[in-house]
Amino acid sequence: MRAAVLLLLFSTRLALAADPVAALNALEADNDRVEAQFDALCGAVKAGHREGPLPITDLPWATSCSLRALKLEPAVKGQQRAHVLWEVEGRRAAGARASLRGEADVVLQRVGPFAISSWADTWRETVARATPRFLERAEEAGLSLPELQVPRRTEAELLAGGLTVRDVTNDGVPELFTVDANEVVRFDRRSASPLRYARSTLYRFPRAVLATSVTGGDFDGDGDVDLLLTGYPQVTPVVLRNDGDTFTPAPLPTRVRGNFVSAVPADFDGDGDLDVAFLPYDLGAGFPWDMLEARDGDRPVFVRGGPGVSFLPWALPARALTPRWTLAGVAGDLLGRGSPQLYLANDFGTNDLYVFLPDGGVQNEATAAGLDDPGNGMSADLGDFDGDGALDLSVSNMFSKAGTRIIAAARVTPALKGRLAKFAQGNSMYLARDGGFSEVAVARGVNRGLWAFANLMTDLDDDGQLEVAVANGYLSRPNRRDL
Amino acid sequence: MAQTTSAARGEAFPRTASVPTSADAMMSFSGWEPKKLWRGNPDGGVATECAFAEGFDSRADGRSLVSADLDGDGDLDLLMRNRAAPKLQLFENQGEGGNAVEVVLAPDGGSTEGEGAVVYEAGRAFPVVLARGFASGVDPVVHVGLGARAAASLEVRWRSGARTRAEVKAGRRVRLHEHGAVEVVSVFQDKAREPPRPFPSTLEALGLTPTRDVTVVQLFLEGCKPCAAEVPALKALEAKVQLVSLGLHEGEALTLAAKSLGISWPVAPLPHEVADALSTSGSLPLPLLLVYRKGVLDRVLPGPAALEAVIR
Repeated sequence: MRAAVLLLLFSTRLALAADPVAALNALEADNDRVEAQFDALCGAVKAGHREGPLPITDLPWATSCSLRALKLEPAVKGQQRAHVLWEVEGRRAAGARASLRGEADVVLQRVGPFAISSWADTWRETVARATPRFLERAEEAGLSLPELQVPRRTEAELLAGGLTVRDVTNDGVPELFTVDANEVVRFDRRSASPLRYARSTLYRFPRAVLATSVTGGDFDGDGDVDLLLTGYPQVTPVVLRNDGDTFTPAPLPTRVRGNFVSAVPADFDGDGDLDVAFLPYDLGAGFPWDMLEARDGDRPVFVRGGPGVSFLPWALPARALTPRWTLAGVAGDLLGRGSPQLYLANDFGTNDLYVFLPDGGVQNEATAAGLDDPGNGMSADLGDFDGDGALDLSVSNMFSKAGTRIIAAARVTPALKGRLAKFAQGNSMYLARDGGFSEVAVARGVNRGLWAFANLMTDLDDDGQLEVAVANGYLSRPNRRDL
Repeated sequence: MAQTTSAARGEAFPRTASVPTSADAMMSFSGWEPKKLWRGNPDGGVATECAFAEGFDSRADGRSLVSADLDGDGDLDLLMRNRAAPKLQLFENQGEGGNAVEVVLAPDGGSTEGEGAVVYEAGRAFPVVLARGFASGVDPVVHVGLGARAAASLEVRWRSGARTRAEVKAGRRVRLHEHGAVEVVSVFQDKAREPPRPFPSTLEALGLTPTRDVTVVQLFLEGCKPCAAEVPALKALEAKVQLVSLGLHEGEALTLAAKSLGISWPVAPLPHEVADALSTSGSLPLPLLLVYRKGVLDRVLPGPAALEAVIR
């Protein structure tokens, strides 16, 4: 999930074919003109006009509008067939929040004034709530971060942003921790009703370092939560030992050094101490050679927990670990073996599922388990989505309208087309079934998370059924027009 | 459209306002994306996407996302870390929901936090983890939604392989010990749900009385250039419609702000709770025109471009 993924992907892969690139470029250039018309239509909707094809007459206030082609055929005799995805959000007269969305097969008039001459819904839905479940109140709760005057690492900052909610004071109230430039920031709750927090700086890396993550764990087994910090570039992680009133930094062995963007603590070897997997991604390195199956990144680095907050490098054979571009991971017993495996969400290719062996070794069983999930993986979460007593896996990737459209028109082998389609499909949902896993994200309608960094399976209404929440969006600039 | 955030503070105004500025030449790249929240279908069908409807409606570039009961009321709130301002967003759960219990594990040996164990309830599995999602750390607390049920029948498969069972009443957080003891850690504190913000569906809700068939209510803020830019268009309609401007100011500041924008018709302070009702993700989008017919809200416009067509 880095810049221009699909464009580069096509320029590298499809250039090998006859001349499909020129045809795709022409179609995309035409799509730019169509999108300009779609944007004008949406602009009119937001300005207050209610004529036009979008079924929004009962929406006095349209706060957003999106209309894009998922499939666009070449124009024939001034007419052009397309399959469109649309969504309008707004407020009803009584204030209810409403999302109206759907897909439709349409015919566009391309001679004379642009018009949508035919509109046939393939599906349509309206979701409305008289009162929203959530109220956003970070600022009034004191959860804000000032702009820091430190060297900027723009490219790196695009992909960083760790967050941890952990009760380090053992009082039943979680403290909040996040990274910001070279700092690790702490928020302590001062009041529950209304929610109020006090901010402090917990730790500062050197100014040239970008703090990437903060994670908690009782690494010394004394009953309170210590913290583990990672940074970029080429930083040795730091453990902050919880000494009650203060945290004492304890660097890891200097051999443990890398471009770590996150860390996953778990007792992987079953000895009773928390071990850690450090996940590397060179945030400033550009792109891999093979954007569909990158193996030119870095290997995860493992350390074994020892006495106190000490860690020992865990020497695993290089051949057992694939050098990837890994943003995040999750540890849990996906395979039902009584001990945790480590699932890694990798950018530019397949994901990994590391199984830890009794002899101290490790093997990647992602493919064997049916969990390799080709795509631009950005995060993963565990939960029992279908409530059958087995852990399911949710993976966030990238749903791309442009990618979906381009792939629909691409003339490539079915195998390549299928793989590309998977890359543009978006999030995955693997349900544990019959000793294996079935990917059901499209069937369950939970794939279109857009440029999805975080995904979370969580029961927000306490009905016993997990929701899936997604934090998404790559780079918003004041100019909202998208590349 | 570009946005800056202006704070109408110093006047005890609780919210910020988003005002468009000149567009930047640099385009966005998968920017301004709406967050997603899918409500699962218990029958295994298609989930319903309800982020905007439920108020999880940020357009910031989201990175990490954590759910946790931050206010101790027994339901899960959402905390999101974004790439840029606002770098943190707290979505406080104010909705109705079912009962719940929370479970903390105390193993007899090994890792003290119980990670790696699995809690089962009514046939569902809940993993105990320390990290999940995108670069996010979490307390090893299992949150179990119960719907209307008043108690949970829990079974824990510990990392050691041992299994224990416990019955726990809804509405509390408990610590389950591997040797079988159950300790109540806390009882959820019922929080009074805040009343819904009064959406200005009628002029009456704004404390105004219609004097003509059509009333146009302008919202404004001192220094809001687009607000100033719409004043001439509104003035041109003064003979046809009732005009009222509501400012994000109070007292003398209100009068001065109206004068600075060239507003020559009646002005009044915008009630704070109405501003909240019109806000998206904590911010009131400006400019904003509310068009009423016979005192009932007919249209909300982000400027005067379509105003003549709407009131025709």
